Amino acid sequence: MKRNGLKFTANALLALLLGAGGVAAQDLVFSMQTTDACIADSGHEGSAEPCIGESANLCMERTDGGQSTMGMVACMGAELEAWDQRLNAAYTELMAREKAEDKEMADLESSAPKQAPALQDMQRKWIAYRDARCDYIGAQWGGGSGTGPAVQGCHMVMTGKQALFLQRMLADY
Amino acid sequence: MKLIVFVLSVIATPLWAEENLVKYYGPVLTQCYANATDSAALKDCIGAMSGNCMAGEEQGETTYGVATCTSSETEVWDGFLNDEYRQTMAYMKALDKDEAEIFPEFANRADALKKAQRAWLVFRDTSCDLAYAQGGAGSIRQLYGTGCFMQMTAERTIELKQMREVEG
Repeated sequence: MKRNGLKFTANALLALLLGAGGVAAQDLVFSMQTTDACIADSGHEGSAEPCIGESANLCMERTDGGQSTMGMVACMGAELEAWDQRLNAAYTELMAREKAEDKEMADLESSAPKQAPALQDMQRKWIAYRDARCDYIGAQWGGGSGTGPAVQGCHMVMTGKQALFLQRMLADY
Repeated sequence: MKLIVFVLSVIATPLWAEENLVKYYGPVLTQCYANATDSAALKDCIGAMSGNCMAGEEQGETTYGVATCTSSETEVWDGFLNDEYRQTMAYMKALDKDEAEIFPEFANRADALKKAQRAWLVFRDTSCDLAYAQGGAGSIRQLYGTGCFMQMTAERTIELKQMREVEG
């Protein structure tokens, strides 16, 4: 896989694979159930990070051709998409709360630093870091066939960790 | 309370120079880091040095004390981070050199590492600015910020070290 392929989103990558006769989307056996059960078991104190990837792994086992390069990328893409939705939901809610609190503090003429712009800045810099980090992971494969799954796995794990981080921030708010 | 902390910190400043704390409490961390053989053991090294500093110094439990003890530990991690980065960079350059003989277009590990490290630095700084902002108007917010710097710097150090061990 060429490096410029890394810039595709999960959906575009999936479409590319389908076009190339890979695992068809309707044949993917995917559910977030096993990841969610793992998160529930990790409790409030424990870290849920090891749960990331469990659903993708199960998908690879259950889907026809799930262990192929394309199958792996498609299964990880499905979990990546699920985490991406959770990340966006947590970010949106956190942003709304921080904006409201910033306004409240400003009305009180408080010296507290503004939270909402700091949250936005952090999230933007996270995107840049995610892309640079996953490019680096891809560069380790020297253009070999493992590049695609490695980069997809990196995006899935990083997005999962960031989603959990934002969700925890929201829970502690 | 805030005023008391402020007064104490002014009086205590000469004793609280970070370099003294690094000299006195740093060896615990250096030894832990040198002896750790895996990721879990390396992660267990995080916080022990600043913990000893907080317990051992007279003002170690004040807001100012906790922040200064934490920053002194960050300083030690930062030294490790620079060292691990240099070593990993040298390692990636060597891999690139071998790769370049056959596939020069794929010899970009070192370049990708440099870009990732730069992006990480910016991400760490903005993450810890956010942690600081979430600490509110009181001086306690300093602890959110300094704790974030220590934790993120330590975790990245461990990652950089392991990049040479689990090679794809």
